[in-house]
Amino acid sequence: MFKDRFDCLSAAALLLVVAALAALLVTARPSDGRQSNGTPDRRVEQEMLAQARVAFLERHYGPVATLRDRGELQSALLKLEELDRNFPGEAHGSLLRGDILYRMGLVDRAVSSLAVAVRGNGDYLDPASPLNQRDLIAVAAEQGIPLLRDRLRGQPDDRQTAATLKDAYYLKSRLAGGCE
Amino acid sequence: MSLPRLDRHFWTVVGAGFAMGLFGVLLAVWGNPENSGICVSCFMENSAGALGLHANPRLQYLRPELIGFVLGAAFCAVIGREFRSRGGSAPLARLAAGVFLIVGCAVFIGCPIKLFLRITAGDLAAGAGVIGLLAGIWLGLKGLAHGVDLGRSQVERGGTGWLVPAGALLLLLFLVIPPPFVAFSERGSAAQHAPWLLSLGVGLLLGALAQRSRFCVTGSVRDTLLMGTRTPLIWGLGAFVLAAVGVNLATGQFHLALYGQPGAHLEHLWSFLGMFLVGWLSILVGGCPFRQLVKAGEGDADAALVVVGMLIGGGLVQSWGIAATAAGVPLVGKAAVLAGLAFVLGATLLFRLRTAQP
Repeated sequence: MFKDRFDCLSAAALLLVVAALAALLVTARPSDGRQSNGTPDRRVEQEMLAQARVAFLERHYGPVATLRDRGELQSALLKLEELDRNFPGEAHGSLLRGDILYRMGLVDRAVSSLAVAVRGNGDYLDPASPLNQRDLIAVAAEQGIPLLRDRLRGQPDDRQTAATLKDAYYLKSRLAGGCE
Repeated sequence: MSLPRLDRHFWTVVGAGFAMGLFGVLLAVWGNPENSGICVSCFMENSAGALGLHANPRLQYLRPELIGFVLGAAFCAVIGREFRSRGGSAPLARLAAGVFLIVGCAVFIGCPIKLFLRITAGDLAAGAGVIGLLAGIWLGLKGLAHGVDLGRSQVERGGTGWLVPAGALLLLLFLVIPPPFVAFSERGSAAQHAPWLLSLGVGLLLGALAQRSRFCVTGSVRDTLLMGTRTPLIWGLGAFVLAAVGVNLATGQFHLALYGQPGAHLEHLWSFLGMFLVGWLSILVGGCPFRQLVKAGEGDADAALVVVGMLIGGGLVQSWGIAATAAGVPLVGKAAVLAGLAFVLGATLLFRLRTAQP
């Protein structure tokens, strides 16, 4: 393999570069290379984002949860409508609406709202997440499916019910797990 | 019904199929997502996310099974003196094929191995995918019969075949000592995983068995269409199905239903087309996504380019919103499958060896 001086020089240079790389990695401190641009570790960044999100939701949607817990469900829905104008498309609004509608006995509408929430943020089904609402979603889907199936049997052309049943199956599928 | 010779090769194939079915279910019992004990496309998406190729924080994990498949195949190929650096056949076409393989899988939600894991767990929504895969393989074979061929690989100088096992070792190092740029999900399906040493061990075993036996799902269907029950591969697939059904039943993971299945949607046409694309491409590039990993481990640079394409695809399907979810297939996903079919049809026209007319 090493037939002439050029080969020997190339091999020696290779060894030198590999040794330099190894020395660099062994002697590096965890903070090296991250001070220059101030960018934190990707994992730290993700954790900060997740915690910031929870704090944001508590700050803005906390009053809705308080009204809901006091049993003032209509007022909670009105407050949610106000928040929807400020944060359109925020999944947490759909989650709280689903919760409130379920407490009001409107299971079908609760299922639709919960499906929108889960599509927007899968954390609501994650037992490890502080946003976990798995029990609520499971019970709504469980009660919703037979109810909606019966209703669809009576009115096979009811597109709204068919769409809500699809939402309930979606929730059931997400509750069953698997890849996302 | 004619039977293959019941020789050592036959039993190696049956053993490989059985082990894949067994561990495909057990890995889900040990912590991987439901029905996804082994899913090369899901694992590619997870690994692409971990390496920063997409930003979905719920799909980031360097799956040790993928590393194991490559290293197990490499180790076995070296021991069996079958490791050869080879390549040079239509590299860019193979790279693009790798991307579209993941597109098809992402729209169906699973690779051909997961397709059978889903079916054997009672997921009837995967039925359209089975028909699609069979149709794609059948059409791919028609193409082969009419001279469609990406070309033969050549032996390469310089030991380029070692780059893939070396890359797998580097990823293993990233898994054990994660550098700051590698991210692992703490929520979502990527946070669901079996203990990494167990996953790696299973990956090594399956990679080694697949290297010895040449077992692969699309290869089994292809050979059956060509040779009927004389091919050992169909018996390997049968062993896979039997083992998976048995373990699913024994562990309470068998739920026969169309609705509410884990990681499944109800857009059957797109499930069909997604797997149709995967079946057709697999014939064109010579094996399913799993087989590409095994061949890459044997020193095949052509398969390695498909694997690189799959990794890029794993990033793109998440970044561009191509991947289907339980909610259904997004518009971009449907467009990407059609683009994939256009690609494979274009390749069929451009790579066809036409015999001169008299």
